[in-house]
Amino acid sequence: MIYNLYGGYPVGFGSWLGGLKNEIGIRLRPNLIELKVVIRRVGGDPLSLLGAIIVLFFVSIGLLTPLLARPSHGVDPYICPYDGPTMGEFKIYPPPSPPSPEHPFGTLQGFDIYYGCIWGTRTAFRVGSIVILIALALGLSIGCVAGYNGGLIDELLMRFADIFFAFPGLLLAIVLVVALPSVWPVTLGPISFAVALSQLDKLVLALALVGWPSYARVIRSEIFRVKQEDYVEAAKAIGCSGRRILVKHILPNSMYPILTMAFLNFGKTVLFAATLSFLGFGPETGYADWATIISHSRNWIVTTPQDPFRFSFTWITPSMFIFAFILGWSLLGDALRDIMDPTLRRT
Amino acid sequence: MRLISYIVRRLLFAMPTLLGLSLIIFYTTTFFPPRQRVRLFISERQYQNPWGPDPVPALIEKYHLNDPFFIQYTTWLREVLRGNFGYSHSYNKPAVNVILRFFPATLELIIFAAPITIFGGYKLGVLSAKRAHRKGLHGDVVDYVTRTITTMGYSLPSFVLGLLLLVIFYLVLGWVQPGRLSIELQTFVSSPTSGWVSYTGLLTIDGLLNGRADISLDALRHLVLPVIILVTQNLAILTRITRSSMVGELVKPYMVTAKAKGLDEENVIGHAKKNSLISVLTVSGVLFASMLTGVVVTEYIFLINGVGSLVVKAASDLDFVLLVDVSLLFCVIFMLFSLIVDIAYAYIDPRVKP
Repeated sequence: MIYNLYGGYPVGFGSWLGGLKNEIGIRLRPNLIELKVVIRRVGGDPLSLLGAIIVLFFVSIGLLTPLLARPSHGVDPYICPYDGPTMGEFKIYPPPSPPSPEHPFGTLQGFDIYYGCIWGTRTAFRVGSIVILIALALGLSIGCVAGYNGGLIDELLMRFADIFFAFPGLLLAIVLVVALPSVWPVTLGPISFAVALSQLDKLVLALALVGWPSYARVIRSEIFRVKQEDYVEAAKAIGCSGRRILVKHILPNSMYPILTMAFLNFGKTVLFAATLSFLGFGPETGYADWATIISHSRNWIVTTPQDPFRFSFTWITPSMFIFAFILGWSLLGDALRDIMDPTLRRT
Repeated sequence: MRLISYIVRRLLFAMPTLLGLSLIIFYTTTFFPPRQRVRLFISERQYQNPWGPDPVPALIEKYHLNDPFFIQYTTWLREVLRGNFGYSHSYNKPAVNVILRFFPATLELIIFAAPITIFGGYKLGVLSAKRAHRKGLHGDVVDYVTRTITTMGYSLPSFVLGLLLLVIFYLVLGWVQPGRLSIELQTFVSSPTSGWVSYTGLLTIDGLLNGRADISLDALRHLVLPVIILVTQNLAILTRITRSSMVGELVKPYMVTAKAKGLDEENVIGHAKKNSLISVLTVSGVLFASMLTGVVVTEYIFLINGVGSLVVKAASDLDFVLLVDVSLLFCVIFMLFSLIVDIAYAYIDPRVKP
C-alpha cells in the first residue's frame, strides 16, 4: 500500500474547505485554511494534542503566576521567599525541609520550591523568548545582508556562521558566560554609562550569540529564493531602492520559515539554558529557575549517600516541570513539522 | 591517489574555519586583564617567584598584551603553532598536560557510546519508518512506541535522567560508586609503586594490557550508566532524522518503479535505506556536536575526570587557558570528524566525486 501515506480524512473535509471558496472556485484566505488544517491535524493525533495541551497549560501558569504564588511587596518577584535563619545581612542556609502546608513542595536551603517552580515557568518563557528574539534579530540582519548582496560578502558572512556550526554550542556558551564582563562600559558620543549584566543576562546573551547562525542560514536561503521572483524584478524595474525592495518585498515573503523555526526552537532553547544553569552558570541561589533549584539540590543528594531519597522532593518536582515543558514543545513541534512538510502532506 | 588529494583539499578548506574559531575564542579572552592573560603565553610557572622582581610586566611587554588586537592574536597564534598552549593556574601545570590527562576518559566514553547510538538509532528509525509507511502517516503501535520513546528521551533533560539513574543505581542499589573506578582500584592505579602502566589511558584496555581483567571489568561497570545517558540523548535525534528521511524516500517515484519491477519488500526498502543514509550523514555533524555536549553533562554528574568535567571546573575557576585549549581541541576533532563524513559521502552517494 504505497500510496496510503496520508492517513484517512473525514468525508466532509472537501466540503468544509469548499466553504472558503468564492463563486469561481478560487480559495479565499489561504492562511486561514492553512491554520484550520493545522488545528484539525493537531487535534486528530493524540500525541500532538497532548503537546498542545501541555504548552497551553504552561502558558496559563505563566499568565497567572502572581495569583498562583503571591510575591511579597517591594522585592524582586523572581527571588523565592526565604524562610530560614539569618545573621544580619547574611542568610544561613538551613537543610531542605519536606513539604508542609505553608511550603507545598518543601524548601531548599530555606527557599520555597513551590514558588520557584511557578515563577520558574515565567523565567523559562522569559529566557526562551529573549534568547530567541536576540538570536532572531542577529540572524535576520546578518542573513539579510548576506542573502541580498550575495557574492563575496555572502561568502564571508556565511563562512563566519559556519564556524559556529563546527563547534559544540554548550562549550562556546560556557566560554562566553565566563568571558563576558559583568559591567559593560558603553560610550555613545558624549554620554557614557555602564551596563551591569547579571549572571542570567550573561547566560541569555551567550545563548543568543551561539544561536543566531541557524536563523541566518535559513533566512539567507529564503532570500536567495525570493530574489528570483517576478515581483522583485518588477520592483527593481520601477526604480525602488534596494532597502525598499528588501524590507517591503523580499522580507515579508521570506519571514515565514524563520518564524516557524523560532517557534519550534523554543523548547530546545529553554533546555539549553537549563543545562547551563544546572552546570552552575545560571542565576544566583534562590532565583526562581527550575534548573537552578535542581543544581543546588544536587549538593544534598551527594552529601546524604546513606539515604539518597531523603531530599528527593527538592529535585523531583522541578525536574517534572522541566520535563513536561520540553515534552510539550517537542510533541507540538513534531506535529507542526509533519503537517507543514510539503512532501508529507494531505492531498 | 585521488582520495588523498581530496583529503588534502578538504583539510585546506577546513583551515579558515579553524582560524576563525581561534579568532573568536581568543577575542573572548581579551575581556580579561593583561596580567591574567599572560597565562596564555607562558609554559612554565615562571611568574611567581616571591623573591625575585615581578616578571609579569616584562612578559606583558614581550607578548604585546597592550598592543592592538591583531598583534596579540598573531603573537598567540605563533606560540600555539610552536606547541605552547599556555599554563593552567588552577592545576599549576602546563595546560596541555592537564588536557592530556583528562582526555582518555572522554575518549573511552565516546568509543562506547557512539557505535551504540549510530546502529541503534539507525535501526530504530528504519523500523519506525517502515511501519509508518505501511500504516499511514502516523503508523502503527511500533512506530507509535518508537516515537514516544524517542520524544521522551529527547525531552528528558540529560541532567534529570542522570540524577535519577545516579540516585537509583549508585546510591540506592549501591551498584558502583561515581567515578571511573572503585576506590581501592583507583588507589592501585594511581599509586606509583603498583607497577601499573598506562599504555592508552583507556582503563578498559589498559586493564587487559596489564593483565588485570578485574580492572577492565570494573571500568566497564562504571561506564554503563554514563553510556546509557549519552545514548538516550542522541539516539532520539538519529531515530527522528532516519525516520523522516526514510518516510520521505519511500514515497519517491523510484520506489514505485522498484515495486513495479516486482522487487520484494526487503529490496525496495533497501533502495530507500541507502538514499536515506545521505541525510543521516548530513546531520551526523549535529549529532557529534550534541554528543560532545552530552559528554560535558554526563561527566559532570557521574564525577568522571574527563574533558567535559574539566571544562565545567575550569569555567568556575575562571581558568580560561584550559577553556581556550579545549575549544581548539574540540574544533580539531570536529574537523577530523567532518573529513570522515565527507569521505563517507563520496562512498555512499555516487554523485559526489572525491
